[in-house]
Amino acid sequence: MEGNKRVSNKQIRAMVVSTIVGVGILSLPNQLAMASGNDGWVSILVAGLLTIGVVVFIGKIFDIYPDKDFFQIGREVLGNGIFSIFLIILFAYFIALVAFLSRSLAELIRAFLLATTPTEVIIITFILCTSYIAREEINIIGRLAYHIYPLILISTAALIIVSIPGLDPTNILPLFQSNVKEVPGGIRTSFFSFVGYEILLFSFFYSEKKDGRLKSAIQGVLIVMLIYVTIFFTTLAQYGLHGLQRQAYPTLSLVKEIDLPGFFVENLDGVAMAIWVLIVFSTMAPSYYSAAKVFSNLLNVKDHSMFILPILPIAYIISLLPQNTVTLTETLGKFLDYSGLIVIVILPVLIYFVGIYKLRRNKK
Amino acid sequence: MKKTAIVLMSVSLVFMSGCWDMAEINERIFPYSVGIDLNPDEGERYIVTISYPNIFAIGKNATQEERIYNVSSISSTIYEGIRQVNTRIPYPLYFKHLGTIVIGKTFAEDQESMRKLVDSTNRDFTISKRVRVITAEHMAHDLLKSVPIAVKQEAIEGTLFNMLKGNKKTSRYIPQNLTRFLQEMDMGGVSIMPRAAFHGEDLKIFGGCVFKNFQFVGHLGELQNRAVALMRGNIKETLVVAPFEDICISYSVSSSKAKKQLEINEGDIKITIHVETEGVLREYIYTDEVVEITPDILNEMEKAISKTLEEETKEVIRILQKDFKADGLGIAEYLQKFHPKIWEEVSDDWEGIFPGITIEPVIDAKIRRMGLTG
Amino acid sequence: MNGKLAKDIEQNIKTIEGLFMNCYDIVIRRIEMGEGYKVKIAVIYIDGLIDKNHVSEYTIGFLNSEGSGSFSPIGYGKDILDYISKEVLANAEVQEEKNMQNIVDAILSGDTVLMADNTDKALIIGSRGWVFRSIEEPETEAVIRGPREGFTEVLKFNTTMIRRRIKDTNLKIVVKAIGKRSKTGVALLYMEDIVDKTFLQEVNKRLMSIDIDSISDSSSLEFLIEDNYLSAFPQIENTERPDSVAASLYEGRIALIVDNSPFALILPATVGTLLQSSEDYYSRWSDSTFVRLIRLIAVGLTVLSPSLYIAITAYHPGLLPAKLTYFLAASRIDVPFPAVVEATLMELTLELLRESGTRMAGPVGSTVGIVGGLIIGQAAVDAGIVSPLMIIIVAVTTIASFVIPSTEFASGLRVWRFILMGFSALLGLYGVMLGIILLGSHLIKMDSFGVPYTSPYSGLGIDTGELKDTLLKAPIQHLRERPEFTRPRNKVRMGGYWKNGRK
Repeated sequence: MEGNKRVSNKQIRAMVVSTIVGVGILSLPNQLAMASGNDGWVSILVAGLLTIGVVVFIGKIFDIYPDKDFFQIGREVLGNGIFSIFLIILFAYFIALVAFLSRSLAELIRAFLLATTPTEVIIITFILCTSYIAREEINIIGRLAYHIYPLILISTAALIIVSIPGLDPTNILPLFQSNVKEVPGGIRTSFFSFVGYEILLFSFFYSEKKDGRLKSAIQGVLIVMLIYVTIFFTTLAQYGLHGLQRQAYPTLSLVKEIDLPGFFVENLDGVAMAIWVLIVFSTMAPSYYSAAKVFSNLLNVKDHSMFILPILPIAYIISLLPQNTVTLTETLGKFLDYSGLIVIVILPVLIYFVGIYKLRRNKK
Repeated sequence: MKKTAIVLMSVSLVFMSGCWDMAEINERIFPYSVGIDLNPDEGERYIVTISYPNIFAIGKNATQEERIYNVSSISSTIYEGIRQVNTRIPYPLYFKHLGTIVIGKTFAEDQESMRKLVDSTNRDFTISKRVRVITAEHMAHDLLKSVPIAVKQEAIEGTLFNMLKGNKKTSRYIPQNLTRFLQEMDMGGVSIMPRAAFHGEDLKIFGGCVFKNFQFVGHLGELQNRAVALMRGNIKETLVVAPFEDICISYSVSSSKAKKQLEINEGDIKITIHVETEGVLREYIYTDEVVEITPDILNEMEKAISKTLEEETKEVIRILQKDFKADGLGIAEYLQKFHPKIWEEVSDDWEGIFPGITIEPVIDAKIRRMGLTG
Repeated sequence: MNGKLAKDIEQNIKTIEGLFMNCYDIVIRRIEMGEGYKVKIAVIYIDGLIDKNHVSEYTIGFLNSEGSGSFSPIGYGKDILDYISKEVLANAEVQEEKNMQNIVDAILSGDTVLMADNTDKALIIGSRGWVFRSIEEPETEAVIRGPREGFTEVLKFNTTMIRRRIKDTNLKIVVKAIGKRSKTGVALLYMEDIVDKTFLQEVNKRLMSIDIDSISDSSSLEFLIEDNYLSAFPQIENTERPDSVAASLYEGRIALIVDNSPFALILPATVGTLLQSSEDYYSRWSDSTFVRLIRLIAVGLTVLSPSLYIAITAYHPGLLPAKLTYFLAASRIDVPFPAVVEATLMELTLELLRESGTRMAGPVGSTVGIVGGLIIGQAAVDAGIVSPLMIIIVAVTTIASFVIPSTEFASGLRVWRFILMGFSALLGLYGVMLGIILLGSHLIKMDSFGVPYTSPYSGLGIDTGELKDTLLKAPIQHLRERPEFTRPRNKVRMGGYWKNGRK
């Protein structure tokens, strides 16, 4: 029963949600509050709509070439040379993403759970554990996403429900007071918390049913928007704008505020960290998988699993380059922003337009 | 085969050098209160006192008598003080269960020290941000030392913490935690935390200390603190004694609501605070003849209670505006949230404007139940 | 030896004697038949494998009887065996055979072979009847309510028990002999109109590709055909209960029954099916739902509790409420070991107890249990070697592992429990999470005959409605359709009576 490497539309939706929701969920409300104050939720909505736009482009690409996967389409549309350059950037992007994710995880684990354990150990163990599933094909990644997806939904819902008693809804006020100039900054911040939808590039081709896959992907983005907006409002109602600006990880702090009388676990932040590790893992596994996939395609090898271990040291070394969390966001984070703009925004749009152009020319 | 060898090697390597953070639960010390003072004598600046439970005195097979240990250290920074304490006790300190921070009075009067303290605790990853803060009447060190003497009923998580847990049915003091303290500071620059004192053999928490810009500016009495709580709308339960005809009646508040309202008359800001309380009549007088409490009598009683409360609140407003010049009523917060335009005008000089604005409390006490006597 | 039979009976007997040299259980009974014209006849069987009464009475008895006295070859041509089988023998199963190998196999399987002179054929007479265990209640899967019969070691009886439950020609029972030497009969059971064809082909392919000396139990067969033989988890379910097998067949699954094994195999198996017990379908739905949730908790407890104990006591006491932390710390004051050593020590002790308990059945076993459970535990706590909480943790872990219906699945979890303890000792809660990631990845990537091991949770084109018979157990009226993970060709198992409301 080999060769059954299909993913269902539900798995696509789960993949979108679990890949997008990742490291950022802990700090996003803070960044938004810094960038655009009380109206940060507007920028989430705008960024989400932009993401849906790109997702639609990706979907269209696969509609134009229904029997080709992403790499074949890219080579045919852009030509071997140009596409290879894009692939190299894409590979660099994914490696940087893997490095960024594992480093951020390590920093938070050190802060909250293991104060003296070396960062190296945390990073290497995490990448190794991820490599176990990253060597599998897209159907397994889809299954993984489908397992983490309910966890994300349930834990978000639970967090919001248990923190409702402590909320002060008036903290959300005043609405619509921020400066128009501040909105683009907020959109930039929140757009990069929607990064992760690029897994669609690798999964659309394998979808079981052609119709409805784009719809599922868009639903996924909408669910992420909903999660982000509710978490933003909850943290805002808990801390107020000033408080939110002072909390580096408001989502985690929110967990710390929860006071369940007579509950067995008092400081729920440990539980939250545990769930968060799984959430980061669900972002990490597809990224690692994609990195190996792109690399194997650059070298024209069909099976990507043999490249999983060789690219491990690269990611590991890159993840150790930044000196601290500040330089981590300044260097790797910036690199991800720019390379991401090229490969996951510009590339699909470019492929779409060139593809359409070529199609029309061929018809004539 | 090669793969297994590599895996085995790395695993054994990890095991040989691993377990960096391991420390058994019985080989840690869990402080529940920290006291911080300015050193009144010559020498280094701060006195840090840490009080922690003696785990040998807990449980069925307790082998030691003394339940609480206090260790103090004199140092130039707070963090250094904690470090120094650490060298004097056998096991490392673990601050996750820290319940209370006690601030000495002189320390509270020093703005810089307070700012440092708040920053270091808020920055720390282990300390819970729900940690309760109180100000000692004199030295935090003495207060912590007196806790074991004053203990009437053992509370394993720390007596102070239990008193401040926030489920007490009283409004004589309102427990304050770090998050809320910072939030209030951010909003209007003023926050109130309860004060603690040691009288005879009793440990008492009462009233409030008003902090303006992280600096202690003055005390509030118990009733004054209640008036503030009433106007901020966070009263849980309190007892009001009001003169009615010739005697005093007792009225216990079971819930209250406060609503602020802004009026602007020719550039002057006027804030009306509407407070509505609901409660039970607890004590009137047992008359010889059965007196039917008519709606009129009830109305009169309500009026008397409202009047008493109004007088209390007016006095507090005067103290806050004239003596402390500190907005302890959350008016800045109200303006920011509901009238951001006006707030923008006044925010720069709020400290100067606040004493000049008109604040009028309107209190409406309602008696809902009268007990078993008709 | 593959050759055909010779015409001469003496030569044939010699061949057989040669093959069965030094086999004391072979019996060759020579008879001469007919009054005038004597025909040499040999009846060959293995003592103990045949029903002796049957053979003496209906085979040898009739050959020697008066009726055969009038026998003469004239009138029946040369085919004496035809005459014997049609006119003389009173046995139910009689069959002609020419090939020596098949004859030998038949003898070895407990059939009786009848040879006659002057013919190159022999008759195989069905006479299997050996001593067997009677049908008893299954010990491993006891139920409070439900049928009490369990499989025995005899293939035919076992398939009969299934046939009794499925009176439908769509139930196919195909028997194959597997094992070059053991020639163990393996019955492949499926419902022809329900089972997925590709799935059936795959099973057939895997069975065909087995090349092995012997199969001693259904477990050997299981290990040979499962997808991931390195995994600690079973990918094929086994059961002693015919009712479970029948229920699985109705779901479009395939069952394998191996001769000499009272355990039938059901495939594919998923985490969901391994956590089900047949009793779930015999109790009320509310009860079963509750029990299923309890089982999920048990899975969590049995894998996680020791490692969480280590993580919390040695790394993150902050996760506990202050009160509990102080009490826990106080209870561990005298314990000289780190939590890791303490936990490993107790877990190992318990594994010793468990192992000795299974080897020692009956009263000795319970003595071992009492000595181990009560005395060692109490003594360890009194001596201060372990903390009381540790004893509770170990006990809970073990009890939880017995809640899981599939013992193989539970022992797979046990292996992972120790792995997780190692991770936890190194990296605390983060280590536990890494362990969970590895365990989760392992379960997620596994397949059982093309079905995701974690279905229906893995959601490949499968409706979440499946959860009503995995996570929960909905009332039978709501389980109108067969579970989807086996891709049944015939989906509905219950008419629309309930859907349209009660009439």
